[in-house]
Amino acid sequence: MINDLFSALYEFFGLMPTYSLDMAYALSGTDPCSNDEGTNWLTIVGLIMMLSVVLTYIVFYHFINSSGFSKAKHWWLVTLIMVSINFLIGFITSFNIYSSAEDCTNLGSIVFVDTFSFGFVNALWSLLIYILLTTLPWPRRMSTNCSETTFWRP
Amino acid sequence: MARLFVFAIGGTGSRVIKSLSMLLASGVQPKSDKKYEIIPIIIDPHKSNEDLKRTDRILEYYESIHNEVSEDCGFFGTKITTLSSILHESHLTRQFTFNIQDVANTKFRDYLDYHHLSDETRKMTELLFSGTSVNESGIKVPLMDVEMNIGFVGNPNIGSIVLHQFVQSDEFIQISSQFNSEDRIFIISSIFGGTGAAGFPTILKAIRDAPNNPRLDGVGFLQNAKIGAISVLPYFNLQPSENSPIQKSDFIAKTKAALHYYKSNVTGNNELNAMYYIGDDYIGRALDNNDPGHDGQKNNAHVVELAAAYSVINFLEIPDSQLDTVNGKATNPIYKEYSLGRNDSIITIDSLGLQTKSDIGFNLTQFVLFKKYLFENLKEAIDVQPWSQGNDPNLDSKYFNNERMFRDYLEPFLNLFEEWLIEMKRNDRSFALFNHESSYDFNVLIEGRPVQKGIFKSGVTNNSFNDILNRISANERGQYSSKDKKLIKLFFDATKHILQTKYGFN
Repeated sequence: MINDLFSALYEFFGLMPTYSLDMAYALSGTDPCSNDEGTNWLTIVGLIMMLSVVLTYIVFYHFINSSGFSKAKHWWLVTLIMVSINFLIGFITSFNIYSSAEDCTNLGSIVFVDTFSFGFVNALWSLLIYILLTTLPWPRRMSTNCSETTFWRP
Repeated sequence: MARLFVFAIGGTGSRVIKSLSMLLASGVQPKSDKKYEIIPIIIDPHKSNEDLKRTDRILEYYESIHNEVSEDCGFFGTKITTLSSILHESHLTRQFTFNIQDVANTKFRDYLDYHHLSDETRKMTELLFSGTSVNESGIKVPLMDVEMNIGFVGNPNIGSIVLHQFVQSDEFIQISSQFNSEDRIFIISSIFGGTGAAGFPTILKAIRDAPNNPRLDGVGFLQNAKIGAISVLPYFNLQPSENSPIQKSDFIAKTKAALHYYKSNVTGNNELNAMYYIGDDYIGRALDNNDPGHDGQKNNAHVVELAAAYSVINFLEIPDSQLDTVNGKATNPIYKEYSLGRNDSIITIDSLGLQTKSDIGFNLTQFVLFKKYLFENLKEAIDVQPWSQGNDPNLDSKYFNNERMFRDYLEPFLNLFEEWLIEMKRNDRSFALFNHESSYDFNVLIEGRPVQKGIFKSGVTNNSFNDILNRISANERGQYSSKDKKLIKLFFDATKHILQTKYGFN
C-alpha cells in the first residue's frame, strides 16, 4: 500500500517529461535487466522525504522557535535547505540507477537528465507537503513564536 | 470601594500628584486589604501654571486608560477619577482642579472689597498685607494689588484669606455628602511657598470643624476622617531673579515660620493622623527658571516629589486601627520622614533603601521596560509577532493606529512619563535609576546593574522580549476580554517575568 502511495506520488506529474519509464521501473524496484524484484527506491526516498518534512517542521516551529527567526523569509530559508537535501537524495538515488544502467542494455532509455528530474520531483513534493503542513493552522499554532509563520507571511 | 481624597495644593501639590500618577500607572499599589479609588483635587489659583496643566493632562490620560482596562491588569490598576464622577447628580465640572472663585484677573484688594471696608478695617488690612510683589508681567506692585490668577506668589497671608472659600465651596459640600467611614484624606502641600503653606491648615481645619459648618451633610464621618498629610520642605534650587518675589533665600525663613504655626495649629493639637515631612538640604545646580508669571512654573520633576508621592502609598498601608480619631482629634498621631539608603547626588538603584526598592523600584522598572519596548521595538513586532497577530484578540497595526486607548491616551501618557524621567535625571539631585534613552539597550537599563550575560545566559534583547510576550500571549489565549486589557496585562506580566529572570529582582 505504501509502495502504491509513493508510486502514485512520484508519477503524479506523469513520467514524461519528468523522467523516463525505465527510470520509473528501476526506482519502483523492478530490475529491467533481470526483471527481478529489487529495492523499492520510491518508497525509501518517499519516506525519507516525509521524514525530512516533519523534522524540518519540528526544528523550525518547535526547536528554533525564535521570535527573531519567524518571518516568511526565514521560513523560505529553512525550506530551501530541506528542499535542497531532498533534491540531492532524489538525485543520488537515481544517479546510482543511472550508473548501474550502463551495464544493462535493457536500460538504454535512462539518460542523465532523468537523475535531475527525479531529484526535482522529490524536491517539489517535499516543498508542496511542507507548504501544506505549515499552512494548516494546526499544529503550527502550538509554536509560541512561529505560530503565524507560513510561506507568505509575516 | 474605599476612596482617598487627595488635596494637592499649589505647584508642589501638582508635581507630587504627577509623580503619584506615574507610580500608580506603573502598578504600585498599597499593601493593604482594602482597595482605594483616588480622587485628586488640585487647588491652585494659578491655572496657567505649566506644572498644573501637565498634571491635569496626565490625570486625564490616566483616567481614560484605567477606564478601558481592569484593576487586575497591573499597570494603571488603581482607579483615579474626578470628584464629579463619583456623584450621582452633580453640577460640578468634570475636572481634577478645584474652582477657586473670583481670582481670575482680580487684585487681592478687590477680592477683599477694600473700598467698602470701614476705615479701621482698611488700616488693619494695610498693616497685614503690606509689602510688594509682582504682577503677571513681572512688574513690582503693592501686595494688595497682586493679581491672583498667577497664584499667591509666595505670600501665604493672601492665600489663607482666598483659600478660606473652600469651606463654603460646592466641592467641599459634595465631599462631605459622599464621605464614608472607610474613606481617607491626604493633603499635599509645600511649606515654603504661598498657596501650599496657606491651604494646608485651611483645608485641615475645614474638615475637622465640619460639624460647625451649617452647609455640610454627613459631617460625622468627615470630622473623624483618617487624615494624612505631607509637608514638603525646601528641596529645589531656583535661578536667582531680581524681579521675582520668590527667592531661594526666603525658603528657610518661610519654612520656620510655617512650622512654628503648624506646631500649635496642625500637629500640636493632634488634628492629623499621619504627618509626613520631606525636604532636601542638598544644594544642587539651579535648573528651574524663576518665573512665577502667566505661563511660568514649569519646573523639572524632582526625586523629592516622587518620595512625597510614595508617602501617599505608605499612608494607605497604615491599618485603620492606627488611625483612630475621636471628636476630630487623632488618638495616636504618626510622624514620618523619608530617607534615601545612601546620600548620593546621583541616585541609582543602590542609593534607595530596601523598602523603597521593594515598594516602587520593581514596578517603576517594569513600566520603564514597557515604555522602552513600545517606543523602540513595537514597530518591528506589529503584524509579525504572534502576540500581535494571531493570539486573539489581535493587537495588529489597525489596533495601534486606530484605537483611542493607545493612540490618544497611552502613547501621550508614556511621552509624559519619559519627560518626567528625563527631568528627574537632569535635576540636581539626579534620579538616574534608568538608562531609558534609545541609545542604551535593555541590558543596561538599570544604571549600575547590567544584566549578566554568558555563554549559556543570553541578555535581554528585542527577540528575547518578544519570545516572552509570545509565550505569555499563547498561554493566555482567549483569556483577555479586550484588546486594551490584553496590551496592558500582557506587558505587565512580560516585564515582571523579565525583571525576575534577567535583572535579578526577586
